[in-house]
Amino acid sequence: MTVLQAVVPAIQRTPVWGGWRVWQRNRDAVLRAWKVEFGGVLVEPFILLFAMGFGLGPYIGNMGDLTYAEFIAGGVLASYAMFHATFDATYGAYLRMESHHIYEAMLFTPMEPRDIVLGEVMWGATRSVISASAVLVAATAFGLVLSPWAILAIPVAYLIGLTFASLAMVLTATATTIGAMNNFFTLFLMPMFYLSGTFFPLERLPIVAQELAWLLPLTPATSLVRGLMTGQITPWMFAWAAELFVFAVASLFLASFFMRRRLLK
Amino acid sequence: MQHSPAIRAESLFKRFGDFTAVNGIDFQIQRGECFGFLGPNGAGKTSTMRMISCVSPVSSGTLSVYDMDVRSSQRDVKKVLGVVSQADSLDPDLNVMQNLLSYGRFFNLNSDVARDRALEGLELFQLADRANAMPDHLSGGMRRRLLIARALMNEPRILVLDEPTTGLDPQARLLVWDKLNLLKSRGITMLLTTHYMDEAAHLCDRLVVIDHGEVLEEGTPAEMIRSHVGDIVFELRVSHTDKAGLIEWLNVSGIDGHIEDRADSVLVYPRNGSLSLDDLPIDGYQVTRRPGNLEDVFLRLTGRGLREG
Repeated sequence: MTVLQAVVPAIQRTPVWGGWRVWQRNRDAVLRAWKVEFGGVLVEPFILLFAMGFGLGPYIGNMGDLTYAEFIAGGVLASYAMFHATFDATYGAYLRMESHHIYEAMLFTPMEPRDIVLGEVMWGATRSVISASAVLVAATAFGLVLSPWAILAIPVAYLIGLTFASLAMVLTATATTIGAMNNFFTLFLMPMFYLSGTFFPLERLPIVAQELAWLLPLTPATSLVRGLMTGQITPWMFAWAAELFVFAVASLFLASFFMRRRLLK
Repeated sequence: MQHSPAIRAESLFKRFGDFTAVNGIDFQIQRGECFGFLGPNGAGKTSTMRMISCVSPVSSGTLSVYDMDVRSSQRDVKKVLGVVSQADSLDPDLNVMQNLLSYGRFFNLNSDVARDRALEGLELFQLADRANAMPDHLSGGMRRRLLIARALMNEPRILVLDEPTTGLDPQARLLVWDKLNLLKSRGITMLLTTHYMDEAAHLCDRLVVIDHGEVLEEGTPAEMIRSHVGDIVFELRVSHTDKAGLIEWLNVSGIDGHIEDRADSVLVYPRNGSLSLDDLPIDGYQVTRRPGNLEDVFLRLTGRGLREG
């Protein structure tokens, strides 16, 4: 008890605490409509892995030691983590901010813009974990998980979520219309989805394109998850995780800065 | 012992680029009083309220809430404020009860405390039977009451209300006034902005009339009426074509008072109580003898009607 009494006030002074309050709000909102929110998230990975792995896979053959389905499972998990965090931190957050005035209400409480940004990012990462878990279950059901290391794909999905939700919040904090989100998807996320080694090994690309691909955060994310799910563990994983972390922290600060400028006029 | 004021502003400015929304105003709001900002749309009421609430940076001047500077102690200032803003910011994804609980969490309330206060608030604002309803299914008056109940979750020392009854029908409005009077009687300090004169007269102990970001007058509603309007006003309803003739008649007849041209009537403010109905050309006009009110004060001070918007 005395430990709690000492620790809780200390935690309450950190920015994480305010973010957690915002996270709770989003959790409650989603739990009211969980059937709608999570029905698709849980079903889609089965369909995708089935179609790609068993429909397309036989025409493609093996990728090194891996079947095509085994090869793409990690990339699918990483991409799902990316998409679900991004959807919520772009369209979802923009709607909460502009149409529902939820941020305005929060600002009249001790919450500050940085708390809101952090809470939205933590929530985006939570959605990544939920969708990644669904992919992991589907991959396990299809026998595509080759190593117990795969369980670490869940915390990695949280990191991927932090990274992409933070990036998305930079956009949300600076967007003047919801249409700006569309460009983010068509010009940034989808190309990254195709070019970050999800569907084919990066080595297939020209060397310049490979180097550029490594600057995009989905590439280290995909490599990390694939390595964990197939048991191909390398020390490079620390560097990949560090790259995601740097993206996440830098975007978080940028998003907080822009959000403050947007909200406190 | 003399308490420091609840809110103190000294030469407070708010600028947006070249536009000055608040142009060097001074005021002090005492603890326990209901203080009103009365002014037309665009007068600077909301800008001032937002600066007090720490959601809009002060451009220059000083502004303190319970001796805390709004520039350096935002979180502490916001802990003692309950704010009802103009925008309807109820959370559409949460039900009525969850709206209150979620708001309580932003103030770091313990969940048992939050639940007790939420139930109390729903009871007080006659929403107890709607605890599980979604906000979209509430009437405008209920939503407004819920917004006020929500602002009370942290048991604020100061309740800040930005146009609390704008857009409500008369019955819903009376209910809100009734609740606000009840809160006032419990000793909470209130700051409200309004462009309804009757609202200001009904609720405010003291008020400032502001326009173009400046304070035109400060006082109690009664003082303002006495010094700017007088006790009695004669209102002569007149058609547009007859108006000029009537005003001329009043001017030449040497009536001891101020004559004012309003859209569909002519007002006569007697300088003392000597004027009676018999002194006025009542034939053919609908003449009303009524007490002066804040609307008269406002129009005398600004020299014109409320702006559209």
